[in-house]
Amino acid sequence: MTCEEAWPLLSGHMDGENTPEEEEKLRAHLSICPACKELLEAYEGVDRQVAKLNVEAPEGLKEGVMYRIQTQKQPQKKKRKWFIGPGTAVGIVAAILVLMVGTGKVQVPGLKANTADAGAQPASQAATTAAVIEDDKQAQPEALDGYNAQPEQLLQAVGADALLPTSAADSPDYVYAGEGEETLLQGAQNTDTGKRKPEETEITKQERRFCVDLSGDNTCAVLLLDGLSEAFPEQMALLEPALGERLQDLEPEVQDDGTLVYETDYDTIMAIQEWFLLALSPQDEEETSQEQTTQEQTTQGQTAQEATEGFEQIGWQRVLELDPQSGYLASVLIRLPEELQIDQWPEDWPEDWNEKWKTGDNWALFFPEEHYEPVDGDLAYLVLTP
Amino acid sequence: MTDTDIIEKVKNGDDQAFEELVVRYQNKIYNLALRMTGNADDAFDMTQEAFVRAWRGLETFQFESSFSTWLYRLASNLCIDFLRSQKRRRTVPLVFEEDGEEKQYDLPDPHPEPEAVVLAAEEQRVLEQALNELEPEYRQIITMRVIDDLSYTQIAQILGVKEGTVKSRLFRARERLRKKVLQIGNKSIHKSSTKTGRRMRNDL
Repeated sequence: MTCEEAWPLLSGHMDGENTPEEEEKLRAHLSICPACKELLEAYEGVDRQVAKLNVEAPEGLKEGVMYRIQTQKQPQKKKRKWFIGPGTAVGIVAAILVLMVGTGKVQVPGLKANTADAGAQPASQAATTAAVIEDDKQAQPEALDGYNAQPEQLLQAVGADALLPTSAADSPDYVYAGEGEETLLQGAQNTDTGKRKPEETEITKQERRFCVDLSGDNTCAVLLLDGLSEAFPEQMALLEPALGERLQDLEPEVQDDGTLVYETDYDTIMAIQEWFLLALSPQDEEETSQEQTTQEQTTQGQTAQEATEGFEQIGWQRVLELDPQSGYLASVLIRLPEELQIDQWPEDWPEDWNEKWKTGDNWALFFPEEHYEPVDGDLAYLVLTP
Repeated sequence: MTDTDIIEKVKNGDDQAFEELVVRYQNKIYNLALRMTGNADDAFDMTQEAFVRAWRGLETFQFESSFSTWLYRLASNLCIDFLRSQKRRRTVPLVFEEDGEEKQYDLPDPHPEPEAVVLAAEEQRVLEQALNELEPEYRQIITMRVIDDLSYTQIAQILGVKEGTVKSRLFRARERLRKKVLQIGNKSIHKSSTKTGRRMRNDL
């Protein structure tokens, strides 16, 4: 055993947390290594000093807590920044989805509409369908509570459930990040967590993180990726050079459940999302880990710089969720400008859009033409199956 | 009465029952807050804040983790939040690799320097200063383990990391602390030395 291997075991020894094998190896090493022996004594000495710092909680603390509790009739829930707004924009989204599928540019495996004849649909037919959906939305007796609705519900409400996967086998297992049973897309009261994957492996809830950008005034929110450094050390190595400095200065806002919310600029958001796409997506066979480690620019993705250019114009909101088992992207939410009409949407998607942006088994990301004006709008989303 | 029993009572409207939870955990939470904020007043506020938020969050608490883990996590995040808004003197990236290559400053020398002789009265002061200067993540984990006596399992759950990470991070934290104690302690020695006192004081 080398000294380097022994060092963490010194800690384990002090805390009684080494395995018997580790203890044995350590003991053997210490018997021949005076340097490490000295180190252990030094650590033990410091620990003794540290332990002396233990104090009792001061008088008045629990009284203060109880006073504050009793004078609060209604606990205030912090408004989450990423909740889905009123369902009004959903019709537009669904229409967009249909339009996209209709023009045959979208390749999203798992979605029913992604068939060979998708490309054959004329744009006008798609537009009609979209318009019909628009009308259906207006005929809704009551607007869905976007804050509490499940993604399928919202899509169904506008008749766009054809875009959902058809078979039970395909049915999505939504991943909801956040603490406890609370989910991204559900309100605080909703305890039904949808079809969450039953077993969670090493990736705990704390390690599931997602990015949200809430552009509108060019400030964005990011939920940080703290836990991911342990879960995905290689991937984090990619992120750090690009974003180390930016992340350093972020000040989190602490939610009631302990989650941290960070605000940062659009560039950082885009860079982080770029990283998601490049670093956390399922690998194609052709790709090697060597490619993976080449900074932000890969054979398939743009640089974060290029990526931001289209988005700044329109003010996208995007939420990426990670699957807790694989760590891969599970779903993507996009926010569209409220006033964007169907006929404003480009008839021709960029020809190479799916070459510019990576598509995985469970996600796709796309962006509009540069000439759209950024406007505020409600959250909407594209649902992709894991 | 278990934590769960108490929580059920609170959820059923018995707010007063929450006090028992405060009594159970206030020492540990306060010690964490004290180490992280560096002063008693802030620690007092921070601890209260943690409990109040915990009480608010009980409504939706679903026992995914134990209450103590959840409370601790909440308090930790509050402290980290507090630190970041107070101090900007971090010189290391927020996210640092644990399982990858080790960073230079974390490694002990192969030949440890001789122990500095620190006057007994100074020991605690030096140690507190050293702790205060430690990176928040290291300070936090040392406090949890050595002062609050939490197990690796508990710490792993609170921080959302693997136990192996707890072990290696504790090692790095202890090493860092050891170095700092020596560094600060040596300054103390030079300060109090009669021969070189004045000169060294100016240099410091």
